[in-house]
Amino acid sequence: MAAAGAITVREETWDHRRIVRVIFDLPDKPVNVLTTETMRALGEVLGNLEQEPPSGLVLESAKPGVFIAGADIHEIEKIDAADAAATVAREGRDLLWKLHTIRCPTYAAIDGVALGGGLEAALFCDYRIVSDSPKTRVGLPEVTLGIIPGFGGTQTLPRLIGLQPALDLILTGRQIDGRRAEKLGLADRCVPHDTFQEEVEAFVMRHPKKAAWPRRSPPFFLIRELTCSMARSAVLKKTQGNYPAPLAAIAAVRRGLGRELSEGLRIETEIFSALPQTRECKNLIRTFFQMEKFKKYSIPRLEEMARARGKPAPARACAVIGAGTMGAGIAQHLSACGLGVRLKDIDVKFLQRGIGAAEKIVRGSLARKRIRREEARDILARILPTLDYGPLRSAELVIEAVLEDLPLKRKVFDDLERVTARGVVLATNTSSLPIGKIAEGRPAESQGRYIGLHFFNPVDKMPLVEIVVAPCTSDETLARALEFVKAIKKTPVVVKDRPGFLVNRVLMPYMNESAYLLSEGVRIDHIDRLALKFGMPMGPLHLLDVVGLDVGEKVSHVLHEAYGDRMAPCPLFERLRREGRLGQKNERGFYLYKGGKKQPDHALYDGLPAAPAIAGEDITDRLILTMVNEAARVLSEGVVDDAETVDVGMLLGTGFPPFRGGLLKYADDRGLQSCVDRLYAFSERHGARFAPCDDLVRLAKSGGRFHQETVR
Amino acid sequence: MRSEFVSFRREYDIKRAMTQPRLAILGGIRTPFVKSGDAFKDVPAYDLARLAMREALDRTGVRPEQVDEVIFGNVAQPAEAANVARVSALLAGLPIRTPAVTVHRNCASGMESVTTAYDRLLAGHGKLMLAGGTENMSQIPLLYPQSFSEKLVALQRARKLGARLSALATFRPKDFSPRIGLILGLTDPICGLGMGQTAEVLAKKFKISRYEQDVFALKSHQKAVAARARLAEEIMPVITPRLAVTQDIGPRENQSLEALEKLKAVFDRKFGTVTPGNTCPVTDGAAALLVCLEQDVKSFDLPERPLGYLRAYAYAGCPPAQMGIGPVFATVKMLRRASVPMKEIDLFEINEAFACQVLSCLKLFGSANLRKEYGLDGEDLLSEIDPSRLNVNGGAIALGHPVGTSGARLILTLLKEMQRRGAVRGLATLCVGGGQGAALLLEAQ
Repeated sequence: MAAAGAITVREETWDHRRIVRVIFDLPDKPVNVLTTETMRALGEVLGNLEQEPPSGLVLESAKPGVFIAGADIHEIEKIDAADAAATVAREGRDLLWKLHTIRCPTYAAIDGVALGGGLEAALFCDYRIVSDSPKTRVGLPEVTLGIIPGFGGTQTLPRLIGLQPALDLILTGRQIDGRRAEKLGLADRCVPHDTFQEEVEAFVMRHPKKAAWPRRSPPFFLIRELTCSMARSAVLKKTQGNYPAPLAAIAAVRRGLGRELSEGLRIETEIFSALPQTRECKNLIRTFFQMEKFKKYSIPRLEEMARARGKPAPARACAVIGAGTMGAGIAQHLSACGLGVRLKDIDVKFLQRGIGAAEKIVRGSLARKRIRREEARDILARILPTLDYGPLRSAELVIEAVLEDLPLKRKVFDDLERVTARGVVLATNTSSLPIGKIAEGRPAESQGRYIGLHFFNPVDKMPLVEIVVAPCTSDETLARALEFVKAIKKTPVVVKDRPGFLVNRVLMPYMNESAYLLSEGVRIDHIDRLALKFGMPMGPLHLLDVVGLDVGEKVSHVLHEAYGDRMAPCPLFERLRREGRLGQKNERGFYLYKGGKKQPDHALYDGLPAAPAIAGEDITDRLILTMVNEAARVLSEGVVDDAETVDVGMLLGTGFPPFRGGLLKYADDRGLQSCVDRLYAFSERHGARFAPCDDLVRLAKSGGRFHQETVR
Repeated sequence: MRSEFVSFRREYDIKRAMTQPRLAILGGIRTPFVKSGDAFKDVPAYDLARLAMREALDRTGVRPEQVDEVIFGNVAQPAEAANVARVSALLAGLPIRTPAVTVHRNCASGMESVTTAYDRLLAGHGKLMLAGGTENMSQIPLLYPQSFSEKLVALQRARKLGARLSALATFRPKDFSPRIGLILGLTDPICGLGMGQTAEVLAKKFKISRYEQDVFALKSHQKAVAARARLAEEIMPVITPRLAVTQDIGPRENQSLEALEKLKAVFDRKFGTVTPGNTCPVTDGAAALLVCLEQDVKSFDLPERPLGYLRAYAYAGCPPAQMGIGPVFATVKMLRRASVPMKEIDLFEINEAFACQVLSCLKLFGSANLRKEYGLDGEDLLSEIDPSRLNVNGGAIALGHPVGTSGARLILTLLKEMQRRGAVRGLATLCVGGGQGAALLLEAQ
């Protein structure tokens, strides 16, 4: 007996018991998702069984590594009104509710990802059996998309595993593995992946009755209130109130817990229905799709080439030149991705420091149990130091990360030209020097190998890599670099070889402006707080301290030289340099860092005007719109292909708030004319650096937008 | 002494030996040699080996998947890494499907790895192999007596409190006194002598004075110090956040004869002449070599030509109590096999286990009468070794002797020096605890 498309129903007799296996397998899709159609099919199956229930019902998936990946995000994206949202949620959870009420025990057999709606379906079952496979991940990631679990997750999960752990999973959207799920009580049993089917059968045989529900008695109301209010203030502190979803999730959990499950579900739907149509949700979903797209970024021209000539073999042995912060970080990350890395430096001490830094990161992941002891050992064993170029002979891709000094870099590549094999990609991690200048004067057939791979600090945490394409860079090299960046689980953005590339160039005016604001007397923490309030992960002055004022100075000098006066570093930086303020590294920058705490350095206010009366909105706009203006220039100069690339780059490179959908999406939403008007006003008051660029003015005048249509 | 050693002449089909392809040594590298208990005391043998393996691969340009088998010598056989070659190979990033074996012929284990690879290649078991040796003598454990482990097992089996207490009561102080693994390993169970004592036997038998031994040791240091830059070509630095070793730590710049003469004999305190100063130190280190048959070299398309070739080799037994003269026995056998007379050899490496042991070998090589006593025939092949062509970059007395590694180190050091000097043929030979010798005939071109 088979139901429509997505679901197969198999009746089997296990040891004289009639067991119905409901097997999800969406045709022509790599994963199972709960589309309207799948839900309808499931409803039909459950409806048929209600009259004459079997002695057991098992939900499972035929897709390897996937149980059910969640609801169909495309369908959520289309929701534009509260009643539509309420209908979707109500119908869905009413249907899944039947898994709870049907007069036979129900089992979810999870051997793969079970996220969002997929996990919620399993939560309505009496029992959950999970596998120990590394592919098995369960979680409720809804809040990261600006909504809350809508199929009962906010009600069933706390009743199953308790309030605190449930809030943790719902508010972080964290995904956990099978063993952890068993420990939390989310799963009844974690069994070996290899004998999964046998173990499921054995479990079903041993548990012939429906489970008691709820599994945990609700917490005393004071405890509930206290826990929820603590969670609420933690969320508010972290999100500055910019994200409604986590607050809504807390409300749903708080109001539902302690009531009948059916009543709780009604409350959940009510709260859920206010979310899918919000701009935050739309932007988060849009960002989600953008990220997915850029993770798999491909260039049609290169795809064609690959079809004709075959895909380039992925590099397995790499070399990193320079064991400084960036070099060591890159080496650590490559090794953690399973690649062999030669780390070259000229001095034993530098190498020791570099490997030491890598070791610290690995120990950190080990302490957080993200890797096993053996993996940690292997990651460290794959980073091999060297003082000479001899062992670089077998490297297939080299990344140079020495000091930002052109003659020095050219010297390194002179040596690499001698030692590396012909097809080897020669990449530089420079943030400020032109790739073209590094490749200049080399044999024509070698110049094509040169490319920029600009990583961000700290390398293990920052997901972005700017792939910098110089005029001399060959398509072959670009294709290899692109495959490489994807293989090391970073998101690529392809940029042209112009000073500052994308992220640093757009970010510099923002940091520069924060210094201008300070020199006008605006308080340090006030500037940073407003940036945080806007949604930036770190205030500009704090960021400057973290990056290091010496590093910032170098970059700003390069940008000033390239782009003229609008990028002229604020005179205040000169004073900071004179006072020997380097930032966090010497515990003295805009802030003083003592014992792990930072405090605005009031000494900086000496000689500055008193705090002016300036509206917070003006401060935020000066910080953000100057970035919009620079991004518009980046686009019109063709440094990147489209506005989407700008948005992804700024999001991953600087943490530009995802709920705003991206820097240029923010400008679009706000209205380009309003941006231009504000920029004109600022340029009159504060200087020509604000003058909106021609393309931005033109685009605004024509009523255009940076983004033509929605991403897909 | 009545001889049981006769002519090796009949043992070989010389014709076949002549037509066999040679073994090409494509390239190699070694870690610095470090006295036990020093910088490498926390770097296990498998870590030293995996560093050398990977470095050898990366420097020659051989890809890990081109290696058909890993054969590594090791004497101490660390308990936590049984078949240390396999453990090291996987840590070095060799493919899982590549088999690995640890070979053990005492001090010749490093050579054994190369000759085993040669034999296996000749037999068609692959085209390219990774050979070498590794030893961490710092980490050779103390062993509890058998009585201790028996009582411990009894204690663990006891369930009830009373039974446990009575099991506990059976322990005696002597059960806790460990046997020192290193000393056990350096003692020959057949003749009951420690290696140092066998050296004393030779010193007396061949009448090598204390002064001769100390002068020899001094020269070893002087040559090794002078050869720092040359030796650096075969050494990879070992760098971790906690240690950095870039060269051998054994050779002493300011070694003086007076200092050597002050040392006391340790193996025979009354009449002995063998001191820690004229003996090789207990040492940690690893070496790796990539080898293939001569005819296959081209197929790997490597950027550099091979370091050199192995033309012939031999192992031979000798009296265990005089294990130090093993090199002479093995060399005669090997030269016979190769039909190459000693005078056609330009450069010599005799491993310096003990100064008196090398000096004994030299005497034996130079004296037909003495050889007759041991039943060694080789008048047509042997001639005296010119001391100025022997161990020109110093030897184990200065550099150290990680027992499982030295054989591979001799090949590496000798071939590099042959290249530098444009020498045609070289002899690498060493004595083997338990009464054996090993001899390799190497060719530069």
